Amino acid sequence: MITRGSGARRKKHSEIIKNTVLAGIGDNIQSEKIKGRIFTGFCVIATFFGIVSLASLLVYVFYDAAGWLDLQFLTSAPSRFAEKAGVYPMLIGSIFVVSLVAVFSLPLGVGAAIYLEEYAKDNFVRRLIEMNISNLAGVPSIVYGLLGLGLFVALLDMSHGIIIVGAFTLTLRVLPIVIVSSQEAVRAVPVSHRYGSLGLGSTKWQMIRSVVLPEAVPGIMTGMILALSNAMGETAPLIMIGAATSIFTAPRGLFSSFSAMPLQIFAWSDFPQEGFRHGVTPAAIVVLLVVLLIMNGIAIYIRQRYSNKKR
Amino acid sequence: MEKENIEEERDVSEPATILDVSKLNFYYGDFRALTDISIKILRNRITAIIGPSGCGKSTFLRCFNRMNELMGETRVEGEILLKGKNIYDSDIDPVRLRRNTGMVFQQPNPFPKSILDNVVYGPKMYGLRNKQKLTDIAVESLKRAAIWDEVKDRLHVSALSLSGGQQQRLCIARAIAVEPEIILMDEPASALDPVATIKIEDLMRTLAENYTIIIVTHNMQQAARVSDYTAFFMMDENRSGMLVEYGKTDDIFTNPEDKRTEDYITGRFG
Repeated sequence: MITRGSGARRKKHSEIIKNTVLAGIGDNIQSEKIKGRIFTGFCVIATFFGIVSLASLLVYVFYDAAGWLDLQFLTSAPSRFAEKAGVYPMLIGSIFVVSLVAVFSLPLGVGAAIYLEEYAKDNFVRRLIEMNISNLAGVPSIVYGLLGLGLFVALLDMSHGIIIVGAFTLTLRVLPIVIVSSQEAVRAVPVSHRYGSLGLGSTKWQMIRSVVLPEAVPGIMTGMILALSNAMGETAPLIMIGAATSIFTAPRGLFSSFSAMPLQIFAWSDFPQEGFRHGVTPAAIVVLLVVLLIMNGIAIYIRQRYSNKKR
Repeated sequence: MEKENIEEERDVSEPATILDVSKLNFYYGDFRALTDISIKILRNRITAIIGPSGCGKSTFLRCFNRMNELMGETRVEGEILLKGKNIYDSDIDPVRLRRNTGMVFQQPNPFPKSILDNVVYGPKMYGLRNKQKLTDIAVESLKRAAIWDEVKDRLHVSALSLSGGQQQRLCIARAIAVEPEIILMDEPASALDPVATIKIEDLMRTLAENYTIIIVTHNMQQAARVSDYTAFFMMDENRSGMLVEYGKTDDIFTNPEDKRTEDYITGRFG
């Protein structure tokens, strides 16, 4: 008499599975591999779609801009004549405004993020605030232009079309982006590091200052890159607050009138002459892209310096 | 045999009580996590807290430096007297308490900074700025934590480049750099390999000469190897932690008074 031990039971069980459950299914490894390859192919196409579109735009722009992009272009004021036209006042205006946006939005955005993440109780009110902030990131920028017009120019009686009003308006526009990405960055700091600091007898603020913030810098910088790139390209809000589409002198101070590069690009692209449409417009676009690149490079450098400490 | 020799080198007279817990009841919200704990922790001794999972050992440990309060709504009934003063009195600043009570966690948690910056983090935070003094403190702490030789050439390298065992010893160095009286260790070696574990255990015995150590461990052999006194905790029928038995480690492990202690130690459960 063969006694059935658990070994025999297990063997019988696996045979049941093999013979009944898996019996009719057959070997699907080959078809699954094919499906995998199709999916991978689709992903590659999707990637290249984006790259090729962007690349062809850049090639087209750079090709047209060649020959028009020179020192004279960078240092002259706009003109009726394409050959004499330059982008200098707008270049200064854009850099000036976006620098101010950086100065304003960084402390406000990081401060809000720290408050929401570290100090505010996790209740309905806080979640409501967070939801509203992320919704604000999606509000069309022209609405911010209206806000800036109504708040700064009408209510606070500031002059329209001046640097400081442009900077305030664009700060409002990009603030939700900075807050959301900074909050994510702060949240990503592991709780074990926080306890480590508090266990050593730090106050909450010391913990934030010396552990949380340094670790959150890479994420915060990523948010700033996004925010400032947005600010650089903003056209509608600046038009609403009264910035000129074209101006002949560079702004001198916070209360000077100004124009920005996207506005000038928009204006030039409308002129009928070839020299404007296929000459100075692409050249100005190139200048805008290069400034963006330099700005992003600075932020990436700061981000690298702080994330190197992790290795 | 080795343990007896070390006993002779230390103060053989009756050790003083440094922490006097009396009728401690701890609540997370409405849930009573600890029931009527009364125990006297002795100065310059290693006290192990053992017991099955979930019986409140770590919660109890965190009562000594009031870290539980950072984890939600908590309530404490009863007292913990540190050298005669109740640490839950309203005029006690938890931050100041934590400066006197170092903590080492189960998972090593060095900051993503350099080794040196990790060790001097505490003193720097307390306002010490003199670079020479900070370095002296760092060297002394790293030596006491038995890791100096391994890191002396790379103090400015990231702490994350160290192995797990080294990171844990770095965390110990970081904790002792602020000269606490008490060091709380929550399963400090459970995430480490056996070789690193032995190093940590050896380290504990040397540290006990200068500090009072309370260690939570689910490893009974470790408790028997390392500690002078052992407290055995269990969950009661309401899932609340209670102290079953407390005494000299030798007595607990060779001749426990309570049957539940004996069952746990002999492996009948837990």
